Amino acid sequence: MSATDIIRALARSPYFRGISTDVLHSIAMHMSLQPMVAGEVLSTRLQPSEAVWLIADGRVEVRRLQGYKGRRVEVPVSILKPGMFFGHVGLLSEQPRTATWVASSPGLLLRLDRKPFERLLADPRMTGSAFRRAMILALGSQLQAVNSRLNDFIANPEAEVATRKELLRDAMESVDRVGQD
Amino acid sequence: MDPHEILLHMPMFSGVSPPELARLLELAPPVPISSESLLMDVGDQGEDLVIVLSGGFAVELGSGEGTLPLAFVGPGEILGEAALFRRGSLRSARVRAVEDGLVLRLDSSALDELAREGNGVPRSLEEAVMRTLARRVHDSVMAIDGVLASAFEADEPRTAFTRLKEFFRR
Repeated sequence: MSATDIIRALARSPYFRGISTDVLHSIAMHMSLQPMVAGEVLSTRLQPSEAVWLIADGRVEVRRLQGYKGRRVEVPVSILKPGMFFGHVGLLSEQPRTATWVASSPGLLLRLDRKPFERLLADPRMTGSAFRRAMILALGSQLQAVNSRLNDFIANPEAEVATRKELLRDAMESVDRVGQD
Repeated sequence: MDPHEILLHMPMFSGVSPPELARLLELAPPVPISSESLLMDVGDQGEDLVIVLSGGFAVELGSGEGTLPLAFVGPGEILGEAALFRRGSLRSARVRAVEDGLVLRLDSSALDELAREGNGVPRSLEEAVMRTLARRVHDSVMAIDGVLASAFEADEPRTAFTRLKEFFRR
């Protein structure tokens, strides 16, 4: 995959819509390519946050640790699609990972390690502004989604309990099946 | 204290010159806010970002006995941060003044004008908005996946709301 392909992948992301090719090129220069295979664990909960990824191709499953009646299991809570970031919240808030990310298909990630990530954030040119605004767009959508979930819980806690129990039952059955195999 | 003086002492504007902050005040003049007035509500179309010069604001979800306080925002902090860079996005929480205060309301056309002039305010705001959003996303995710999960793990879903309130109070 060439630099041009990385720029095309960035241009397809909703967070970089309308950004010039020159600026995308400057951002792409900080990124490295990371192929992924289906089932690969990309980063795990409680690991230090040291990188940010943007999905160029493929899908990534987000798993969070949940428990019921004293038993704990990682439960899939969402699927991330091409053009989406992951790993940025931990790096920006200086917190360890709160989720485990697993490739749910083969694909390709654009990876930004901590130092180039910080260089981009501090860039005084248009490049830095475009990247900071991309982060803001991604975080703004996430905040809207998580606050909407909190609102739903406040409005209808019984529905949240039922959803959670269903997710946990499926995840525990899956773990038990693997154990029997 | 004079609004310009307050801005000069805000950490988020530490790299911005006094004339640049004076220009910010020209484009977004201070607005007095009375205690108990509603600054924004869930589902409102977001038009601007609020910079708090004085006073105190409660960020909340729910209503009545089901009110969940998410944060208390005071001088030097920002509110409605997601809307300024995501035009047309909807407010995801309610913000209520808990005491009299003074704020700046900056909309996207004023921000664009400052950026065209090469003013340092837009860059400082991008940085502040990004860090604030990251902290709020992290807190809300921890609330959902940490606090709610622990209530279910203990098989006490009815305690979840109380646990959430305690989490955000901390």
